[in-house]
Amino acid sequence: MRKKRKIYRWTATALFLGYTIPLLAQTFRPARSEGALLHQLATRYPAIMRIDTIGVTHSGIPILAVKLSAMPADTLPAVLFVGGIAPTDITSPAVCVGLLQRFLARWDSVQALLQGRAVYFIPRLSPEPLEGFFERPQRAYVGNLCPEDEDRDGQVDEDDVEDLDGDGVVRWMRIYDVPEAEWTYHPDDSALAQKVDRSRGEVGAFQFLPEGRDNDGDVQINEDPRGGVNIDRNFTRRYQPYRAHHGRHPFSEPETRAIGFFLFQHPEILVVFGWTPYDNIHFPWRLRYPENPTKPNRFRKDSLAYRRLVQRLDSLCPFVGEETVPPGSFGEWVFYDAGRLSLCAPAWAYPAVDTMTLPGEIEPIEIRALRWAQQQQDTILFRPWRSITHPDFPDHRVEVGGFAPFALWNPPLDTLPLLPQRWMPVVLDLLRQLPRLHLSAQVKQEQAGVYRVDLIVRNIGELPTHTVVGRAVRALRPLHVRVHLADGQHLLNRPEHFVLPQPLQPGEQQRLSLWIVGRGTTKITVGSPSAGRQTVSVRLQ
Amino acid sequence: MNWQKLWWLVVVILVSFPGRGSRAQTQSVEMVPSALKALGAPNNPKIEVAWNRYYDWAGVTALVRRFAETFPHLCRLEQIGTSYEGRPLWALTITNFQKGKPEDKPAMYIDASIHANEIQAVEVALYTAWFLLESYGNNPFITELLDTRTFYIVPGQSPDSRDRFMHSANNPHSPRSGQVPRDDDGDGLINEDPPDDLNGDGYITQMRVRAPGGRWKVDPEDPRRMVRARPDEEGEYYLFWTEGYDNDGDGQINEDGDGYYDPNRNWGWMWRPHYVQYGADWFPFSLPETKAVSDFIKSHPNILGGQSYHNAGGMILRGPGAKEDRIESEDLKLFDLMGKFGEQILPGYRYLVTHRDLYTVYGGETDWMYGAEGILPFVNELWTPYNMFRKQYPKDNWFGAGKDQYKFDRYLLLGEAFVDWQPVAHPQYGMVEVGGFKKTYTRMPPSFLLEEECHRNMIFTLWHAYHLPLITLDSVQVIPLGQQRYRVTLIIHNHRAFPTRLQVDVKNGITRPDIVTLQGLPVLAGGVHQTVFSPTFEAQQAHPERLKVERIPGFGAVRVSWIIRGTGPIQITFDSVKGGKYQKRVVVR
Ligand SMILES: [Zn+2]
Repeated sequence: MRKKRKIYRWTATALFLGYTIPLLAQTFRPARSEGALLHQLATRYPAIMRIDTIGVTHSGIPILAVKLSAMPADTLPAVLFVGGIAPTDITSPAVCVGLLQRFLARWDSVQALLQGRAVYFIPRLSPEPLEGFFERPQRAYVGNLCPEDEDRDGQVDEDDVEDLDGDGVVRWMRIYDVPEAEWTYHPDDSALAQKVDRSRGEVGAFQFLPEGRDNDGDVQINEDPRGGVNIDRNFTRRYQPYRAHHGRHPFSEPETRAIGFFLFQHPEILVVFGWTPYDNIHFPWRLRYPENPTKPNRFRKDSLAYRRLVQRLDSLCPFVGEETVPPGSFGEWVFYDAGRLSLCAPAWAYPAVDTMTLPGEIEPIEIRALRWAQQQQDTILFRPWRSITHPDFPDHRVEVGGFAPFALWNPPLDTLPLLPQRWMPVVLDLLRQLPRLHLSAQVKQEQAGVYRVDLIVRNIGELPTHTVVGRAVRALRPLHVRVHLADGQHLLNRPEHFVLPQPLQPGEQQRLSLWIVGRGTTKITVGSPSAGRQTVSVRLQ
Repeated sequence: MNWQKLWWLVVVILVSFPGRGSRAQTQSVEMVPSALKALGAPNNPKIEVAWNRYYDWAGVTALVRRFAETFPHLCRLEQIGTSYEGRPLWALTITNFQKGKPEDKPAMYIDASIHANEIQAVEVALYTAWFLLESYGNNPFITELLDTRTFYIVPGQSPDSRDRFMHSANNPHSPRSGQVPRDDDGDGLINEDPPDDLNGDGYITQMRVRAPGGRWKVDPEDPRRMVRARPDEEGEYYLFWTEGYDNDGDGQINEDGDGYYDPNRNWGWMWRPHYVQYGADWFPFSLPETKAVSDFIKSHPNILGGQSYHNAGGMILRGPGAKEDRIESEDLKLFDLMGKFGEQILPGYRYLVTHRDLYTVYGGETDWMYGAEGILPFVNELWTPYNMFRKQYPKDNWFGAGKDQYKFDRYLLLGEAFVDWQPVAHPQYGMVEVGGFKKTYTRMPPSFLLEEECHRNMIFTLWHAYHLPLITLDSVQVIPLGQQRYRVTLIIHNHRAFPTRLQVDVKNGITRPDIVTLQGLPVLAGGVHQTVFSPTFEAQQAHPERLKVERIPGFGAVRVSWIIRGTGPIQITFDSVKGGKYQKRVVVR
């Protein structure tokens, strides 16, 4: 706790003295103070940083997108990083801000990289649930603050959670000897719980619920808490209707719409990295359409590009997430329905313990977190179970304790400042890999006054110039060739502008012959938002 | 001129100048009053509207404003959004406001022309509003309908492209999209190569070029018509389906017209991206019009019946749009009931299933209405080629045989539907000829069939609305149990074919259950009986004064009971999201 106070004091001093903000310490911030900080940075670095509000949540929190580039006014090939997707991830917004600060602090060393490229950050796509971290009592939200009648009783958000034992944190509750009990002690550690299989005649010891009481007298506890839609279930790909917290339909929420419009209005973004609980870097996906494996895969080339990417990132990405991707997820939408190379991994995860000893019933992450808490003797992270008198169950044994709401997914505060430097190599590597064009032209005079220009368009980057899926959803644009003829020149074998529908893969080149009549200087421009633009001039004489 | 005639003239003049500068559509001082009411349409209506012509968005706006101004006790107009180009999107709420709030009655939702070129859909929706308003108080059927249910009418979903259809050159099939700019071919330019009206007549027709290698020839039976040359003979012409040239110099003709997307593939139910569902656009409700209309539907959960008007082909379509989707079996019976009824009153129309009989649709409006909102919707494809010669075509022949189209034009329209071939200089092809059917032909009825189309389709929706739940709270019994305790029993009776919640709703919890509340005296216990005859009930665990009833079946009844203490007045309320709200007062003594 002393450490925490020290950091806050340091922050205040830095602000007061007007020190360069990039040196500011890392901490978890509520949306408003993060927004203020970002705007302050944008004002200080107008030549390289831009900030845009891409949407506003139900409760009025702006969703911000930051762009860094040596030429922020231009449309340049770009990578986008998105944080604050899962309702429990308060870490990735802080990592975003930390990365931004590192870029600004070391501008001299990254400037060249951002000369013809850009990096975007959306630090928190779904800000509302993260505010629970800063509320007193601290509490988790299942999603944003869209009112939802979870128990379909015609009343909305009428049975929220409570901090019954007054420790300032809404944790968990064990209610013993109730008929609906379907949980028991975990065999490895009685501090954890596991579900019994009632269909096999097993009997539960207690009911396991978030801390709280039956506010609406319907004999159910916390069945209709405040909120909301989990944004990471509200996207179109494999969307599942009728589930709590998935939304009334896909893209029902301002957060989903904000990122939807943003991506389709930014065809220069080729790669999207989302910090999510699931991980497609250490557990690569099979990208294909149609799904039927006997049919040829339309997205085979995208799949190869993605495979090459994750091979490189496997060792660079510092933390391992889950293999299973939920329905309606952000990550799958980015590839299949928004057409970009999609990368997903958690911003942070507990170090692994020996997973061989774990039975399958419990999420390994809970064991990891518990071991960590025990090692550090951290009773805020995990509070040992203690009996309380529950107003709705005066005659029952009821215990309160367990993990704090954000404990499973976020590091202790003193670990946080170390994270941006661990992510920086990933950002730099992705930027370096973006496609780049190289043009060369050879002129041959075929007949008097008739020239053949052999143009070679080559991708000297390490990613394709666009994705096949990106064209299929009409989000990305193909390479576009425009021939600027001098007065009196005529182009014989092509229109003066046309597209090259297929993406150029890394190292791949395409040769085009242009037959031109007439002398003069011909300029040929080739490019697209995601590949950049190059021009070559040839003198026909 | 006698006094009676003079009196009529005064009435006509008053009606003809409703004031406020609204754009007059039909009025003229010479409007002669009706001496004998023809059955059907309202006689000497307060608002004269000609139903043998088509209205642009200014016309639609003038009409809906007049509806709301003339019938304030029956009709409210609200702007539910703004189109991409800034035109107002309208919704009419039509019910008797003096008998209950609109949101407390089961509602019938009607919209039109999500595909802008499907023009007459708007007139059908407007006619429905007009007929309801003019008939209230004159026709007992309509009077009861407006007393007990609410109509929400969105008279048009694509005003920008409707005006585009009417005021610029088009063919019958354009524009189907709205006007939000989209770059179809990915060259970074928007809509840079649309069709062109080469002869400047306001129609995009066909283009024929007499040149070597052409495989088309003139039909010997009707020289206006082009037919393919037989395999064993030489042809004479090249035929291009749309008039135009290569505007952007990329070697292609008309490859990038109005940004192509299909607003009826942009809804949040089984939405699929463009490579699976052509025209899906960016994501569900990425268009200002679909967003506004879906928000309107979502904010009126009392909607249970739905109707969306399209053209063409004479179809009464039900979902699902995709074979992997489903309609619940009980709901299917309601679709069948209404669909088969529709086939009787709409001659030439067929009751069909979208994915099976038409094509696969992902992200369609009415599939969203059913799956996500628990509404029972139909799509009517207006204008059946059956109407030409009262002759049925195969179900996939939506426009009728080509020969018959020419015949109908020649005999009944006296050739008005055809633009005769005429030579025009083409910038790329030299001399070409331009000609063909006008945009107003093949998908839209001619004047003398439009009013019939409006009326018959409206009738279909009126019976749909009729069959929405009509609840009475019957047979309230109060039985003393001694010690100031009473048992109150009530039968909730639905007199119509639709249940208060569809099966898809009950199964998936789209809306909450119906709620029956007893207020006024302390409630000790309460519950729902298994059948209307069972003497016992399953006691509800908590809040017995507020009983949850899953739904009231169509033509069915549910019995509930409470045990109360004391005497005095009590109030019983039945509150169903989609089935309406009803109250009853009883005195316990
Ligand atoms: Zn249509």
